Amino acid sequence: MTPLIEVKKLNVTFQGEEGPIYAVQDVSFDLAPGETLALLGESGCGKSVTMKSLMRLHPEHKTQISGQIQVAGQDLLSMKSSALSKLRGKTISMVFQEPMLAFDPVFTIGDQIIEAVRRHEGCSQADARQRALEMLERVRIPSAAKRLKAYPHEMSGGMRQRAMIALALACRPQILLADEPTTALDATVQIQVLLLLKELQRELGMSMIFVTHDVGVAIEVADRTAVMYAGRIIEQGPVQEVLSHPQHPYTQGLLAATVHPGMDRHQPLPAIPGSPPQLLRRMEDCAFAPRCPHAQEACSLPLPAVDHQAARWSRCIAHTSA
Amino acid sequence: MFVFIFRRFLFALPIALAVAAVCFSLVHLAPGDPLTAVIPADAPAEVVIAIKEAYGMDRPLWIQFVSWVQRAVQGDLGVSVATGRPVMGDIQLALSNTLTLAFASAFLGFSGGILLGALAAVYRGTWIDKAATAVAITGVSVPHYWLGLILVIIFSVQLDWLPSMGAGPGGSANWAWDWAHLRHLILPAVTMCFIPMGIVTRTVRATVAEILNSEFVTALQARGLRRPRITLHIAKNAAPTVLSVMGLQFGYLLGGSILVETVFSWPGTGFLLNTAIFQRDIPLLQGIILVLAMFFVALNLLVDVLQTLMDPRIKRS
Repeated sequence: MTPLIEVKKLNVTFQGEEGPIYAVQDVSFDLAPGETLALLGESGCGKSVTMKSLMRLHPEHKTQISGQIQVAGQDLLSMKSSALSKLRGKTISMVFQEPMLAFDPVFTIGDQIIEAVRRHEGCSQADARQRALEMLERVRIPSAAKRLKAYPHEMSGGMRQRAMIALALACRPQILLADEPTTALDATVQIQVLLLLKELQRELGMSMIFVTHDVGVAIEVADRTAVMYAGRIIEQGPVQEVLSHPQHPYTQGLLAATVHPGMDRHQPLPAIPGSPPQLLRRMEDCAFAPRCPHAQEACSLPLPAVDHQAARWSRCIAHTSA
Repeated sequence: MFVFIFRRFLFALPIALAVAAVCFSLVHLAPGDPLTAVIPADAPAEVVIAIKEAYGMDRPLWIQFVSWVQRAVQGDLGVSVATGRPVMGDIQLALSNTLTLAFASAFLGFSGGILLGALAAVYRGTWIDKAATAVAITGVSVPHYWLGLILVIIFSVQLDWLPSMGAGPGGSANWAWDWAHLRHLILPAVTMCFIPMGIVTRTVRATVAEILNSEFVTALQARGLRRPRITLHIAKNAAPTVLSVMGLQFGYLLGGSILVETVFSWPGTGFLLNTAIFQRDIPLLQGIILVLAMFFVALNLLVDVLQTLMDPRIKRS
């Protein structure tokens, strides 16, 4: 099966005030139709930057993108802006972390959905309105007809995120990018939104990339996971395997620092010592080595290449050189 | 909505009354007796008393105030001490000329300011931004009476392209929107437009730049919307802030044109005010200040209502 998204050797560099920031380095992954991939990692590791690259949403004059991104068979990075805007919201769509910030505050929810539908489907105002209403009902917003006329600030956080999902799915995209869609929500609402997303994904047959820092959420939604650290993917594979038998010491540390049922609540959580490196240089060696309990001398040498096509791989010499 | 407008209107009434009180008491706060302009210095005491009675100045202050307000509400602002004509007629005429000038300046200043500000915000940090900011700061800083004189020297005296004085053929009462009159409007309008242009430029730049930095603009792009549509979103978000600044600036154009109108002998309220001050024509002075202040209050009310109509986040209660 040809993948819907194919990313090869993606590098994203921002022009910072004190020199370049290598936010994403040498990232490669695929996404098959109907599949869910979880991008897992702590804040600042390049998850969101990777996601935004998939829609080319970075400010162009300050960003350098190299590598290859194929979305639904099209070469994203060489695309003209008119073709790009046709793709955005139609083929590939995004749910943002904070719906309060991602909605225009002075337009109603309904108008914003209608506007997107009319842009991509070219239908009449009445038809677009009908679609908007259907979508709000589909994400189970109570009294949907009334909510069409609501402004974003008039809804609760959970409702807003549902409306955001309705907006993102209004044009039946093939790919949904969800950038920590539940992080800003209450714990109980989180689960509801998560289940809703899973359900809609099945119904509409979409592929999904789900960015999260929450291991539990990744297990809940994803088929496969890619763990990111310091701008790179350091381990990748089926979610169950990666999280039950992590190969990379960072993944091991991340899992050890996660709360799970049945653990001794008087025991302090083991934290990974130190903090992630600043992304001020291109790294050929292992970025995690300074914090790694198993670091050897060989870790400061450039890492051997990994086979990105493999079902399971990790970027650690303990596993690549074997 | 109607209830909201009505309530806002009710809030404006006490402000209007307070303004009227200030206008009225100006006469008594200013040094010198308001009647010294009328009464000869060597007039006998009984003549002074008779004149005081004729003007109603012998009654208690608050009664004077109440009757002044009562008549003002009915459109009677008294009789000019200098000319003997009803003050209201002179003010109406002057006000229409001032409004003409203010509208022309506002049109130039606001459209220029919006354009420059938007350009500066979109091209932040480039030479376009710096040029627009430089124009804005210069516009705000240059004293406009001085600018008026310079423009007169260049365009009237040196080049002889435009007239430097008056409002065109027929004087103050015969304004028309034809070239013979419009050429008289150009120099004062251009002189006056620089301050509002500078201030609107800075406001638009700051507001639009902030909006451009917000996440929802990225989100609009992520929905595949085209540029004109995104521009519309940005404009609607910027409108309430920019509008309130423009409302205030229009108020300043109405009331702050004294120097420009004097430089260009433009027969507006500023020019009339200047005359009234030098002639110590108290009823005229009070009348002009009151009318201008009322315009300011009304303008603020209008801006308030428009802002609420445009921004759903302002509570309508």
